[in-house]
Amino acid sequence: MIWFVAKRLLAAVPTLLAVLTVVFIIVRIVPGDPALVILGDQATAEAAAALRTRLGLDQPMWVQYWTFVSNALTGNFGASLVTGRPILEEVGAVLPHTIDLTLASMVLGVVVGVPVGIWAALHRNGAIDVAARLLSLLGLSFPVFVSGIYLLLLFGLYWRLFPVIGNADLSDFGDRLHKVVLPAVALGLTMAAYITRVTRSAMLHSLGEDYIRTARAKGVPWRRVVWVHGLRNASLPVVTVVGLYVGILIGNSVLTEIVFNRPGLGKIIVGALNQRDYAMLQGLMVIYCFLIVVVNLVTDLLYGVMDPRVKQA
Amino acid sequence: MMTAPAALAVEDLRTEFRIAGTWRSAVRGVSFGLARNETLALVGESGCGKSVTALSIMGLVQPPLGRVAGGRILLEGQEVAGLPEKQWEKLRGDRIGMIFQEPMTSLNPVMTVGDQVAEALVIHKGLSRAAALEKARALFEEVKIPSAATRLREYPHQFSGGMRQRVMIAMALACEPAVLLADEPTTALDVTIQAQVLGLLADLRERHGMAVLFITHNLGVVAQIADRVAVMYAGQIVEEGPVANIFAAPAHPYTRALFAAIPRLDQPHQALSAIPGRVPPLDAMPVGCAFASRCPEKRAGCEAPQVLAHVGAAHRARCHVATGATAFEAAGAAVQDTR
Amino acid sequence: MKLRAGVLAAAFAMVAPAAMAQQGTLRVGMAAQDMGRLDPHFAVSTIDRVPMPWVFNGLVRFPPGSIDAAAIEPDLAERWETSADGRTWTFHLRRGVRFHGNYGELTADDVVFSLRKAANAQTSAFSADLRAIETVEAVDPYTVRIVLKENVPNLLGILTNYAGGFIVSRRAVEERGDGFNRAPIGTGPFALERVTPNQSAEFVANPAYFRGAPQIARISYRFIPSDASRDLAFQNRELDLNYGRSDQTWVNRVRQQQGVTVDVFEPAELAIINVNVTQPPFNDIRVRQALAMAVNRAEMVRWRGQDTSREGQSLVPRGYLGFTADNGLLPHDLNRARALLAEAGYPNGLTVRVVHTQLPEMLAAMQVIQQQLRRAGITLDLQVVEHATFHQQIRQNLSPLVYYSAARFPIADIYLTQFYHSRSIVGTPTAVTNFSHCGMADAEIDAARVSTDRAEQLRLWAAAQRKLVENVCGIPLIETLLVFARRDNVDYGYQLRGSLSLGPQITEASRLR
Repeated sequence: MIWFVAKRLLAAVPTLLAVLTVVFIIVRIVPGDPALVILGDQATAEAAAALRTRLGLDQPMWVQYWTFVSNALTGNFGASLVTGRPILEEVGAVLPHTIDLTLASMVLGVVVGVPVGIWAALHRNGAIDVAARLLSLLGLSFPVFVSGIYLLLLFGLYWRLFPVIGNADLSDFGDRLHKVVLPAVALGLTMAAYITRVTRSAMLHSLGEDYIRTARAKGVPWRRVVWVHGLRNASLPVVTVVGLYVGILIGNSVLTEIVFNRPGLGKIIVGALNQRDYAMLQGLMVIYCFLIVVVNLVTDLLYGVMDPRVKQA
Repeated sequence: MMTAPAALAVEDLRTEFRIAGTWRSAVRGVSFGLARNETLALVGESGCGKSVTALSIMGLVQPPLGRVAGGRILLEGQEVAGLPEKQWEKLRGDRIGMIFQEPMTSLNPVMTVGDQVAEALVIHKGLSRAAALEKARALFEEVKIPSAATRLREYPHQFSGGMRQRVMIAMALACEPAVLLADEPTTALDVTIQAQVLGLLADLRERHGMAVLFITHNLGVVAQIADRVAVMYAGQIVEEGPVANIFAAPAHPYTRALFAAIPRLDQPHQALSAIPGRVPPLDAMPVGCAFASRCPEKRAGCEAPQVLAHVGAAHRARCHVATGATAFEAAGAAVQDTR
Repeated sequence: MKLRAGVLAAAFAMVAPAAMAQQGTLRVGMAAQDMGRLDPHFAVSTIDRVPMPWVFNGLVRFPPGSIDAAAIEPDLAERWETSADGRTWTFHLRRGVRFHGNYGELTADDVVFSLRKAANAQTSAFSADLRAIETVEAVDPYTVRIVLKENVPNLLGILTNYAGGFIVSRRAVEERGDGFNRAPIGTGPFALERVTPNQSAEFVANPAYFRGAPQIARISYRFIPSDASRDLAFQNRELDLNYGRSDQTWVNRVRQQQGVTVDVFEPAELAIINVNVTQPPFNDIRVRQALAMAVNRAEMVRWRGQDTSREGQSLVPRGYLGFTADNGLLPHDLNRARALLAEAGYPNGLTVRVVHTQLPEMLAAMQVIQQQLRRAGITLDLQVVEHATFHQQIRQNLSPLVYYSAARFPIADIYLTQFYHSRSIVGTPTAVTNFSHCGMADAEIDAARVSTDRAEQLRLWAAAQRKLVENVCGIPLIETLLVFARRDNVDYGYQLRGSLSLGPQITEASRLR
């Protein structure tokens, strides 16, 4: 098990390097100048050039690349070009918010999506199934900046249950929980819609299998057939999808973060991109990549626990 | 026969499936009886309704896909057709067990085989999991799975095909059912393994005195295991009788065609004759003999409905050519026969 | 009983002043994701500029709520003298001014250090503003002498509580190095407590502020990039001040809310279409004139809003020292525009590729202009790019027309120099934002800058504007004012008519009711 984890983490290093290289190149291909962002539009071209020199942006590409990679490998991601704050500090400050939102959305997505998906599968083509499919389509096609505003209007302004400004005090667990509710609903329902679809089809597939007939021939009550025999098998594809989705959630929650005024990784990435903060972008990509690797690893480990056919050696 | 009720009696079973919005009969008036410690082989090509008959007996043909539309199913004298699902669940796995054809897919891949065997015991006998596992271990030994205690904790993918089928048998036998339905239990296995499993099944039947309905398309297997044979074609029994009679003198042209399709070791140069044509589809079932379109002996009268009539003692066939009985003449006799 | 009353009274006497002096947290919502650099000499974006006067002072200042250069008053300097030739200035510092934390008393040393830092391109984004300064020296701990290389239109303007004029603590900068960007130390009414990335900056009152302890205890400066949710938060009373949109419908909607005031204030951003006079087809004056007459400023004002915008009248925003409306600006006239185009050889009109930003507000304005020009037969083929890309590409001469909207220090010199002096032409080492490649008013701009005769200076600036307008180096469009909404419990303590920090100043007199 430990070997498995170590091997997987080691195997992620080339991936990480490849991503680093691609990010390094892409951020420099995109037009735009961080010096202009930092100095503002009244700066002279000379001042901007001087700043680029100071930031090391005038060095040959390969020198910049080498500096970046060698620093990154020793865990030194440097500081943001724009704010001057160390990148790890910056990320560390928002990571708990991102994790809160990701976990809460995931829990919501699974807690809602799985039962609804099962229900839809059991009542295939019935009214419930059609309703669930329609709702999940709606959930998938409703952008957060619309659903989020409605949630805020309703629960924030009208019922006054939740604040509009959702940045929580990290030291106060109750506050964190309180403030993650609305964004998690906005994000989690989209995920639930997705999970519903996956669960439904996985469940339909699983319930059509021979071992379900075997279980029924044993006289296993239908409820147990569904929840034990059917779900355990159907959960394998669901876990895969949840794992993939969590990866997406971590970086793609930017709209949710903006609408609900939460700090988070997605928001930082977009900000860094707008400001051409190369250092920040590079550092963020490494961290993001690492998170994805970890999430995938956890998914695989879970898979191993849930599916005895998967060997982990 | 006014003695103890048969372990299983099926009377005029009619099972239908919904195809494109219309109910079509897949099993058309099947009747047979099965005594304790008796093996009846249900023989026929795939698609002839053997498995559907077995599933109907298990109560596993359910709306919206299919339904038991008529007839009676008596399990140890108790009418079970039309029972509510809750009561069916009490019977299945307890009084009646079933083994399926595909040992590869019929076991739940994510549960240990021990738990799968123990499950029925926990449900029907109210045993604790530990006690049920202990019983499962004993069952494993009975079905001759080596190192039973350790293998209990393993998963289906760690077993060979033959071993898996032994697990299936152990599972079906866990609650000592009166009736065992074995749906092509050896078809997917190697020939040597096949023989072992057949031997095991015969032993177990002997020991537990079960009634076994053995479904197969392989007449070779039938000779080894069955007391009586019922040949099915297109949802009907077309011939039935003791194994010896049928093997000695198959009466129905279909039965004879089946025998002709068996390769024989004692005849070096043989023309293996496949049966030409195919089984009529459910939505185009002829009124008369369903085999007529493929039958080399087809003649006038085949287009009329056929009845099961005696060709010898306890040996009947559904063919006017073999029995000389027409539907009209045999109507009365047929009614008597089914009782 | 008496004793008790006495104790209570004593307790009140101790508690009351503090309680009255420091009440509540002022919550400000700002349209940005995060602050950049908090070193005032690097505060170039709106979000960074707004809180600078809360934390820092200059030698002199605009009275709170005003951007009138004639009203500049003492801040850290109590008084000053200037030599006869206007080149040597001596400032006498206020005594007993203390920096935040334990950074001690402000001395001439800090002022000298700050101005030198602000004048150095390595340590400041505003070094160009202080180019005219030859030397800055401390005469004694409370006296600073500044010697100029050449005369400047308004030295006091450079030394106000704006951009390069902010005074920082020398010891804090030296101790903190790059960290000063995140933990700045000034002398202002509020001190930065902490910045939570992506969330907020928290300021606390500086009880030792030299004008008296502020009445507001804390300021929470929240970064809320989404306009919709910031408005919701304001409506939900989670914010006291809200950065507004210069948009009539927004202003009208917010004004309808109970207990809310919308302040519209200076400086206005003047939007100009800068025309590259060296590139065909705009190297032909007739085409430029046609362009100028195709633009309909009155319509743009109706589109943007009567309360928040007004017509541009010159290539310098109105109200700036030296501004003149008497410059021969061409009126809107579609027929003449078409005739001029035909005369220039484009009887069927022409099509121009223009690089433009995708920032919604700027894009919408450009689309209005696109429609207006189409009526005269001029088709704009808009290449919409991301904002940072836009800024880079317009500096590479990739667009013959450049829509640019800016506010500057309110003296004509700054605007004219940055946008229309040949030294500032993009692509050169000294480039700033001269996109038109015009240099025909260099002489007037340079002469006006060093002139000591105010009347002559104004005449020169007027002449420069006339030349540039007549040559159609740029076409002024509209001026857009700043908008902030506040709940009525917020009392700035002054009338907010203008603010060079682009947001309301929160002073020691500001309070929450």
